[in-house]
Amino acid sequence: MASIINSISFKNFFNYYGDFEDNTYKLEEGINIIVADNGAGKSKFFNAFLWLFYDQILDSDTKQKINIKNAGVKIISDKAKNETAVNDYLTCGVCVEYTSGTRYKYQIIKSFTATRLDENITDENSWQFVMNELEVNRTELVLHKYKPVYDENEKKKIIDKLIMPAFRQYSFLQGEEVDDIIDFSKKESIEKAVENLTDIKKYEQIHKLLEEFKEKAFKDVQKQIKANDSQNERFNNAVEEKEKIEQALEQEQLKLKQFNETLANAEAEKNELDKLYANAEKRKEFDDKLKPLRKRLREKQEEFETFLDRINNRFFDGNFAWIALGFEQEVEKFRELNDEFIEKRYEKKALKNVEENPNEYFHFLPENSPDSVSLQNMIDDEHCYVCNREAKEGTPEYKNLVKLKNRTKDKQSEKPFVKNDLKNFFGDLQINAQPFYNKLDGIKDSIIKTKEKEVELKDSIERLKKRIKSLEDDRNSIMIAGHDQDQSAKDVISSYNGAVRRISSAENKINDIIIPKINQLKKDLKLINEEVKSLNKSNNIPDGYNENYEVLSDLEEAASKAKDKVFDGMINLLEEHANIHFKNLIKNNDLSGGILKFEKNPNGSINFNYLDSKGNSVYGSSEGFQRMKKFSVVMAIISANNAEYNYPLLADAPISAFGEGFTEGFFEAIGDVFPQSIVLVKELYKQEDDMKINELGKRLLKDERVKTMYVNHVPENAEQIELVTTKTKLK
Amino acid sequence: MLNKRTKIIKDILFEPEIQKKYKLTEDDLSGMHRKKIVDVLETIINENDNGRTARQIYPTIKNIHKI
Repeated sequence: MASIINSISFKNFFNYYGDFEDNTYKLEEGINIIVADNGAGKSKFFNAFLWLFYDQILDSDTKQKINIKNAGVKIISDKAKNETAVNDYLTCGVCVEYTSGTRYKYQIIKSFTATRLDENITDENSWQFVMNELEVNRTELVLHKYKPVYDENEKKKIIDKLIMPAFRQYSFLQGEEVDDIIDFSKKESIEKAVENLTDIKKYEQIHKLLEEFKEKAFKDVQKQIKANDSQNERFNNAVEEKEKIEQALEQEQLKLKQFNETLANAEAEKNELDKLYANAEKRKEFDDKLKPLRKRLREKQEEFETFLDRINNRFFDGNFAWIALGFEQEVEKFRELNDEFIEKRYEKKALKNVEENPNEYFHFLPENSPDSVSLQNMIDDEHCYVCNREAKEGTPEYKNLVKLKNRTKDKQSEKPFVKNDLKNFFGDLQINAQPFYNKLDGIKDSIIKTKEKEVELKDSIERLKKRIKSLEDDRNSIMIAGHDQDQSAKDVISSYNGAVRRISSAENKINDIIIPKINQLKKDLKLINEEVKSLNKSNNIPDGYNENYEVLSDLEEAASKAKDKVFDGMINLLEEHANIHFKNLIKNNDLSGGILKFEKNPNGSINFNYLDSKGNSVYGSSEGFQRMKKFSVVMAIISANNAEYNYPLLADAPISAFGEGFTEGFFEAIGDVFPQSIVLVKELYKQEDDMKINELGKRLLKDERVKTMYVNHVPENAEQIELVTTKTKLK
Repeated sequence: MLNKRTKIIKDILFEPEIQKKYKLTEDDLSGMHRKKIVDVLETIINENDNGRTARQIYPTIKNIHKI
């Protein structure tokens, strides 16, 4: 008969501000999913059940469970606190409705009233708390009006019926706590499960009684014989021998107990270290991955720095010539201006030359300066045409003409013909600028390429950083507070190996020495018992005494075997179921198929191993994998039970951080095991999506096993006092 | 479903060794003239369920054997 939770409501409970009606989640048989990002009321939702069942909440800061009475101010909505005037009061509570079987429906309300005494709302002393009476109501399903239940025992029964206390631990999964539910280091852990699932306790009781009666029956026989024949030496000897063997057996059993303790301690240590060992190995795995990534990041960052340095050079480097960008027109302008300059310069130069050697250019003297041609004419003609008079050879006039014609050139050096001759400057300019203007066509491409290179470098740095961050996060997430920091991976591995050695040595001692000895003693005891029995028969005592002893001895032996059979039977059943669930859970992950194996230790504790396809134990696999292993056992405990106790699964992100494969496998598996599951999950949340769920979330939404799906919202960047969780019902 | 009490009785009495020795069959579990071993076990289980102690139960067993 399954209990199905119909709804859960909150009143001013953490972020769930407002009355019960404002914060009601209707739930159905099947899978119910509440998707919420961090801080959107996931753990708070779960805390409601902790309150309901244990009067506790889990303090998210300290990860400690605290009693509701001491949680006080923390669990009230800040908005509600803020809106309550001094001397006024508010109520904070949770309400769960569930149906059990086909007849009754129940309502359970736990709440308290807080009266505000002072201004500071976060101060514990500003409030006075009064726990309200537990309210339990009942109605028949055909009716709609609840009737209160007054009897305290009845109230407790109703709460217990929702999820029986013995099974709560398997029904109530919160994140890492899955690890603690089935603690394989403790003999009691799996025994407890078997106890809850079978009537083994009854068998044990009966066996214990039979042991006691057998002793009593033997003593009765002894008494009778003594009364009848005190001289029966053979009988007395046999009894003496029997007592000796019993003593030896007792001693060996004591030894066995001691070694079992050693074994149990070593196993406890190994199992405790299992997690750390796995973590140490996993951490090392992460470190091995991180090291080359960090190196690559450094290299890339250096490459980026160098790249940035080089960008300056690209402006002035003829190979890139970025400085010339935008000067495309200037080349033509320069050429034109330079041509003009050259032309003008030559003109000037020519003029200057003419000025300096006019006779080489002109046949006529310019004014007041007869040229050499004219002078030669005048000499030849012996006549000065300047003053138009004779100049006969030999006359001073003639000599003057010759002298004029042969006048020496001016000795002064060549005078510049322009004030500033920029010919070389412009020439150099043209030569130096050549590599730049030759590149003009390629500059834009070069800049684009450089920009692309910059983006590429930035991207790959960003990618590397992200990858490193995610690995570091994963690495951090496997650190369990207070564990990993204390012990180096090396210590963990060496302690782990030590524990494994001690286990093996204790097992050898128990299996090879003590157990065979005990078996031998038991055999001897049986023989001597047979002898005693046969002696009894030959004794002259009433048959009833002998018969009584014989029947009780036989029953005791049979009861002991039956008890073991029940235990082994359940262990085998659990193993079978656990394997089915395990396969389902990991089917979306790349794990090669092995099997889970329960092995009974001589001391009765159960070893839980994962054997690979070759039958070797796999030690220290990842934490996610370890958790899946345990979760399969949790599910086996539920599916292997005979459907007498069916109850909902309440899970707060039990698969966080182990990847989508596990998440998907988890949802598929729980649907087959629990009549109802209420799963609070972050992994399906996607901020950017319109519906705020990711692809897997959408697939699940379409899955017919999923009956309801809610998404919780909290306003972004809201002040604490404005933090209110609202919800959208997607299904 | 098998009654819990019956299941325990069967589990113990149908252990091969004891079953063979006392030649127990399903029929032996009911009826007026049951074998003593069945009677003894049933008495222990019943009386234990009734919350009686070992000291209180043992005389009843002895009665079965008429001692």
